[in-house]
Amino acid sequence: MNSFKILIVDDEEAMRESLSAWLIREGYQVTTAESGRDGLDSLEKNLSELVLVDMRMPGMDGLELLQEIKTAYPEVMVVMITAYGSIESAITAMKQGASDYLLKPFDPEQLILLIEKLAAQKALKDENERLRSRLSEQDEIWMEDLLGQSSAMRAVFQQIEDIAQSNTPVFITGETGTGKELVARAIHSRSKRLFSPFVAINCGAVSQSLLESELFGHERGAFTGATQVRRGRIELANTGTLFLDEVGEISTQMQVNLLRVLEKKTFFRLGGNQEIHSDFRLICATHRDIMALIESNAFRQDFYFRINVINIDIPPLRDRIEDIPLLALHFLGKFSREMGKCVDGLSPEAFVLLNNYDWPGNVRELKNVMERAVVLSKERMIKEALLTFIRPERQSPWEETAERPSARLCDVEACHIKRTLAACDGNISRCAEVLNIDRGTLSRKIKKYNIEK
Amino acid sequence: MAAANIQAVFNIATDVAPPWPDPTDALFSHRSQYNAAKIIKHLAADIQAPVRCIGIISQDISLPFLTYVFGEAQIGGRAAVLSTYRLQRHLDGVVPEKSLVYRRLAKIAIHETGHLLGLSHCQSLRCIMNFSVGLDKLDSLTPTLCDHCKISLKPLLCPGCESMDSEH
Repeated sequence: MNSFKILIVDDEEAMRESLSAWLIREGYQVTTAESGRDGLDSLEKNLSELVLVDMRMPGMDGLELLQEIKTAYPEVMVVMITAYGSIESAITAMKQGASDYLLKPFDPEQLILLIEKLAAQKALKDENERLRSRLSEQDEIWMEDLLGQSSAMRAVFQQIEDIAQSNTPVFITGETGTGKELVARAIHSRSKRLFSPFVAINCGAVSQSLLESELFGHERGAFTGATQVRRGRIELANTGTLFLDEVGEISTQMQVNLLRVLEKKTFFRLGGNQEIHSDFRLICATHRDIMALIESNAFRQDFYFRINVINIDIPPLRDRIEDIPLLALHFLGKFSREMGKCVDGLSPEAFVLLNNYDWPGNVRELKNVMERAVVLSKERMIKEALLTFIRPERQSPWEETAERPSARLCDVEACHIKRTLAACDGNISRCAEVLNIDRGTLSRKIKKYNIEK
Repeated sequence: MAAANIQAVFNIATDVAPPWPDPTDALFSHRSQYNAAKIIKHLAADIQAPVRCIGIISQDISLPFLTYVFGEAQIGGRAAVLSTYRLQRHLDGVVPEKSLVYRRLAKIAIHETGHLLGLSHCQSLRCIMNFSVGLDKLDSLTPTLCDHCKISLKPLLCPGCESMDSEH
């Protein structure tokens, strides 16, 4: 039995009987009503997807019934059944929201094809709504980790709202684990491109030659192993958003190629000679110091200016300590639910520990710490002992800078001078001796780096 | 022809009744067609269960809202009617052979009997219970039921047989 429900409203009994018998044989669920009022009552008790309405009825006529149905149940489809000679009223009905009309008598195939068409439309609409709700659920899942009540994060959220509707390229900066991709997805999900694809690629995760093929796609035979045509990410992002994560890893040659795509919105697949158009919004992100890369000629300035029209800088977690308890409790609740455990709080000492830690892995690290704590917890309250971090103690920013693989030489030098000076109790002459440099040179460097004696 | 095919497909006893009078009161006032629903009511009035009756008419038949029907029956009803009028019409200018008209008649008779026995239209394109739109479609069908309709028909023909089967 087909689940598609049809209501027939006609004052003629013979018409109701024969039409309903006909549709029941087709497998539809059919109810009948002999007047407009009865039809509305019937819809209230058992909502049908389609109503077949006779145009001419005593009391409430077909057009009045159509208006009532469209006001109370806008999603219900209405087909008007009318006799030859009253085509004008059928056209009026169409203008008032009827899905279609049938002129009596009609061919059997016409009736069946029309109902099949409307049933298919309904199924498509339902499917569309299901997908939309699934999409927004997914969006909520993605968005739920992007939390914050600090002024810095509130500014980021405001910026997302302000720029989402435009097509301007966005450049997201922030340390690893701060949620750059979440911000990119948030921009996409608030833009007009919401129902088009969000295509992300981590430029640092693939080799440059593979990245080229990933981005631009390739024609069959473009290189060894290219046995079939493949569409690249740029092409796949058509009408949607292209997110280039770790954009600082892209070679300068590739930046030239991308610059051309950004300016003309057209490109060629590898080995192809047909120009392909793609309309996408570009969002780039990096955790690297892009200005230092430009200075060292590892990043093209013209490409930087093209991608960095709007900059969103996501603050590291250690700079928004007030968000730590909020995020910690959020992740605690999330993992407790997922694992079916009854863990609902953190001890005051645990909160102090979380607030004092410097979070080099940012929100991602906090998420992992909380997941681990929930897994290991045997009590409702998470205690200090269950919190294990990447780096056990808070380090000074100087030390952190010096240990970073991408640290600049001047930062390392300043850090080393500061440490040595501290070890020499602030004695510049002794420190110069230890460092094996002239005292005057050391004094200049101390002044240059603004180191406290 | 129709009776023999119904007996063969459904394995039920059939008989041919003497001709019925012309159903003049079933004639539509504004078109030269007979109202199939009215004919069915007439036929059903004189039939006692479990007998079912199928009327065959050479005139064109239809329903108030349709332009034509080949046949008409209500699901689980007692009577059906089918018309040979459109079965002998020329298709692409070619006059159909008598044998083709008989085959069409047999198919419609089996289809309407299926409805009388409780079957709805079937989605299978090879099943006789598939809805026939036009002679082309009717000619492409084989006069047999698909497995699904056969299984659906069993409890309809013999209510309680299933439970008896399972008991033994």
